[in-house]
Amino acid sequence: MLNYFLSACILFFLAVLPLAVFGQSADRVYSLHRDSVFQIRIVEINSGSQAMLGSGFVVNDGNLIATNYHVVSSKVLSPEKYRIEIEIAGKQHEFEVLDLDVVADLALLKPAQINDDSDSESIEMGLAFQLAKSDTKKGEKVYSLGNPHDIGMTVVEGNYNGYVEDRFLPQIHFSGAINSGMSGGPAVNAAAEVVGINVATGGNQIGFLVPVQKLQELISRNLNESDNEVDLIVRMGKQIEDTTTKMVESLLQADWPKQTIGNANAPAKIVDWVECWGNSKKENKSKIQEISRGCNNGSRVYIDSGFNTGHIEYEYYYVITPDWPAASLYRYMTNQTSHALPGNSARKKDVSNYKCLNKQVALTSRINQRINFCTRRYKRFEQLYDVFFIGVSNDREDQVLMQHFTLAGVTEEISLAFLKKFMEQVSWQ
Amino acid sequence: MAIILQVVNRSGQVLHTARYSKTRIKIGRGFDNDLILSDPYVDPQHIALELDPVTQEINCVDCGSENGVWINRPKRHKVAGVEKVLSGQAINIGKTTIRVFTTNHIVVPAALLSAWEMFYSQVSRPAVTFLLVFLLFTLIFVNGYLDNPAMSQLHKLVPEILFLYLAAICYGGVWALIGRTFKHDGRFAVHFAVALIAIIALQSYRIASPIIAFNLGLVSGIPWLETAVYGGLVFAVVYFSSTLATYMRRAVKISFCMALPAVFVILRFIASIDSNEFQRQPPYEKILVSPAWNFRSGIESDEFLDQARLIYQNDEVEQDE
Repeated sequence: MLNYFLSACILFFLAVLPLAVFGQSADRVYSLHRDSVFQIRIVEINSGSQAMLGSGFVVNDGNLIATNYHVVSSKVLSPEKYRIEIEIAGKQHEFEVLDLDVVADLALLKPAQINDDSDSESIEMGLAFQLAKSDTKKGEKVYSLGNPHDIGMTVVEGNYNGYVEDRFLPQIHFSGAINSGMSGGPAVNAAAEVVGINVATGGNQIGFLVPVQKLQELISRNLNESDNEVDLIVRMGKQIEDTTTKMVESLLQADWPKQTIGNANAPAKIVDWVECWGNSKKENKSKIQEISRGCNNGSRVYIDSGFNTGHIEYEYYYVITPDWPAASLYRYMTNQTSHALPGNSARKKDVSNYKCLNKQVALTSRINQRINFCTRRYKRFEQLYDVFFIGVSNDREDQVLMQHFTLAGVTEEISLAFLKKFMEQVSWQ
Repeated sequence: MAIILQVVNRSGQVLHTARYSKTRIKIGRGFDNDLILSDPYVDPQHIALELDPVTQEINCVDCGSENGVWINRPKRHKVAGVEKVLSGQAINIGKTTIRVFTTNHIVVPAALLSAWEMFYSQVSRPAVTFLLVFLLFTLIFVNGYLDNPAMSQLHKLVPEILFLYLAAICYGGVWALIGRTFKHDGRFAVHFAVALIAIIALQSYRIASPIIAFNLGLVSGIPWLETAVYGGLVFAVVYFSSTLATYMRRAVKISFCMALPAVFVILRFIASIDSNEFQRQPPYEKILVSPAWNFRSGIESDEFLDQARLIYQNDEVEQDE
């Protein structure tokens, strides 16, 4: 009886204890920093209405505000059309973008230089957040701060779940509800140190954070760099270029393991950071067998709502029709391969139209293909291109192998290197 | 010695010819005339034509008509009382045109029977019609089979086949009606056969066009080729039928036959303007043909890589907005 009573007591304490701790921590975290997290409003100057809402928090020596790039993207891309407004201690202040990391989705804001800059110095922004130095453990409690849906400053409790697996661009998986408007807010540990920056939601208690190291790098670069006059757009272009070049280099350096696809061989998963899928279909009635597989890097670099980049994908598609007339097979393939699209989205103001090279090519792997290679140039970042490749074999009467890739935001040099390697990876058995 | 009168319509077609072995011919609406007209703008006794047996000259006498008599040559003018008319000349009374001839007027020699006459009589033979119907059926079937070799889908071709035959029948019917009106010559079978031949040509083009386009490396040229083929066929068929069924002069006929092809060209032109707009899809080559029909010479991959370099030199990059 006594044993039973004791066990019940212990269970009760075990159950209640975390609640008590959470109550304390969330409360403490909030009270410490409630004056250092702000709502960021992007206002369209002509109409005076808000175009975007996000969150931001005080960093460095209390003189800078960190947020997501995607919160302030319209200001970066069309500075004359938008204004960044932050309400601090009941007063609206105008801010401007000091620096950004478009790939990690971070931006640093500083008070706007208004004609007499005495005013801008005097904004009291509250206590700066400390950035976590040590690694956070998987499972540790993390509190995400921000202003979801414009309903007021909110603390969301969740767990730190480490880096998202198999991503080239690191992101932290946070098990907690991050909602629109919280973007750019800090996610802090129990000691109120920033471990990540809210960036996206995967729905159903799956949130994503930008690792704090990225913010640390951005801040230190600004402390060290004397010349901050470099155009933000030029910096963005360079950041995209560096990232996509590293990605493609990592692909080029890897072994390209071959795997059979019907009566042909084609590469499978080349590196860990691509997600792959496959499918096959055999229809006895219409006597056709199809096998497809493809991989992509699963993430894109956001530039603005209609334009993203940094996307890499490749795909193979094999069809065999032993009983069909050859003309039917090629008619079918004409249809099946006529609708390929680039993997990223872009508009007229972002990119030029595609230009294509269409050739019949005898590959050294002794497979004859009709190969189409198309490029379009970025208008803001002139060193960058989207490239599109599709090659369809046309040397066998009863089977066809298609290979395809798209790279977004790459330089001429690296995409040509990729093209050279990619083209020759397929062969008939 | 006699006077010959031809009543012609506004386009010069002869409606009625009569020979009068008299030296004075009366023309008008009244029943006592030699040539009785029903034109309400003609007087009961409108004119008289008088033939001088010695000089062979014809004089036109206005019998005091309400609307007068008009002669076109040398300049259109109203006859004042009496005027000489030359053989072959036309006179206008009311809304009626009459050509006047003397018996020794020399008529044009006989026209040669057109080489097409042979063709007309051949294609209107039942055996040929049947052959064309069968050929078209086979072509649609072959095209349908190549599109989808799973035989289960072939029943879907029935509406297409019915529609095409119905279209050919309507075409033949409409032109037969026009022919009967203008030339009193229907010739349904010829028009029907011509429509079938055109549809057969289009079906054959569907089979041949990927091969042509692929081997010529036409990527964006295909739509224009298509417009040319369709427009050319429509022109040829309509030209043929209008020659057979009407008396249109060549220039009029050509402009008439150009109407529909011109619409094709305009539509294609509008589409080509649109294609200069921003396109999400790369304009890559889409056609594939089987190895047996692939006559395109391939290049080596190194050569391809060299050429790939060139398409990065995109000229249309301009900073807008």
